[in-house]
Amino acid sequence: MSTDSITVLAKVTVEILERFAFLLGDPAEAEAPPALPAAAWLATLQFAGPRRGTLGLATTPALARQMAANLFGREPGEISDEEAVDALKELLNVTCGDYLHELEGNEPLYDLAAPAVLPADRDALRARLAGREQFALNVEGQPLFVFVGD
Amino acid sequence: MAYNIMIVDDSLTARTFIARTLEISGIELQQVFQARNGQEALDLLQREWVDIVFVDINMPVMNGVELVHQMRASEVLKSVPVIVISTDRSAHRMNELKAAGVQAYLTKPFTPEELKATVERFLTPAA
Repeated sequence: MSTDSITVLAKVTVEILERFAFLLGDPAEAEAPPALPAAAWLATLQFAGPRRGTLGLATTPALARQMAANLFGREPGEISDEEAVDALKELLNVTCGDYLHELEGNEPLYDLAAPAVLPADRDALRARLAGREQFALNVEGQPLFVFVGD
Repeated sequence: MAYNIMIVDDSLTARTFIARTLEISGIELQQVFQARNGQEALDLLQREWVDIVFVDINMPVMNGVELVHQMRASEVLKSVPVIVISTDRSAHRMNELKAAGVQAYLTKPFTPEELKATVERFLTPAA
């Protein structure tokens, strides 16, 4: 991965958030990223093709619920954990497809594994982000961490 | 004229996104059927007539490519238009699906206008 690929990933993530989940993502300063939440949901997806790796999103349950609410046309309070997790998985799936397309075009064939979501506390999240290319977005006052690596 | 449409995807979010985009697009809908995989779709298609099927590729139990093969092998279902909706944009996959009998391919996310334009290629009554 390179600076170019993380720049592409940031652009794609902001676009997908807006077009798919009707949310505005504001890139956080690299020197002052948002604080890691005490409790997060960590979504990961493995891809294999000319590039291999794992793409991941980590955010608060509140933001995942807001995404699902926007997608389903309901209030966040009406969204179940299952629906919010499903929305996070689908956002990751769509983001990964667009990211690989932006990097490689239409020729390469990629296999995408099914996205997985697990709860993560601050320490687990810090460990998962360590050493991986990453950036953070502020979305509706909530942090969204995006990372890619092996 | 209102249409019966089927959406086949293992993601509730994806099915909801497609259904809502269909509503916003202004296409007249009579009924929208949803299935979580190819087998559920085939079971529903035994009982319900649909004008068009939207299908994802990667699904458990029966994937989208197998569903299209089964539909094309059926005297009753072989002429029902199938539109694949996926995140996979590879030319190889698109050619494979075209050979299997898929009529069109949309990549997520798409706008209501893109969806409507694609659907109207198959549902607009002949003059």
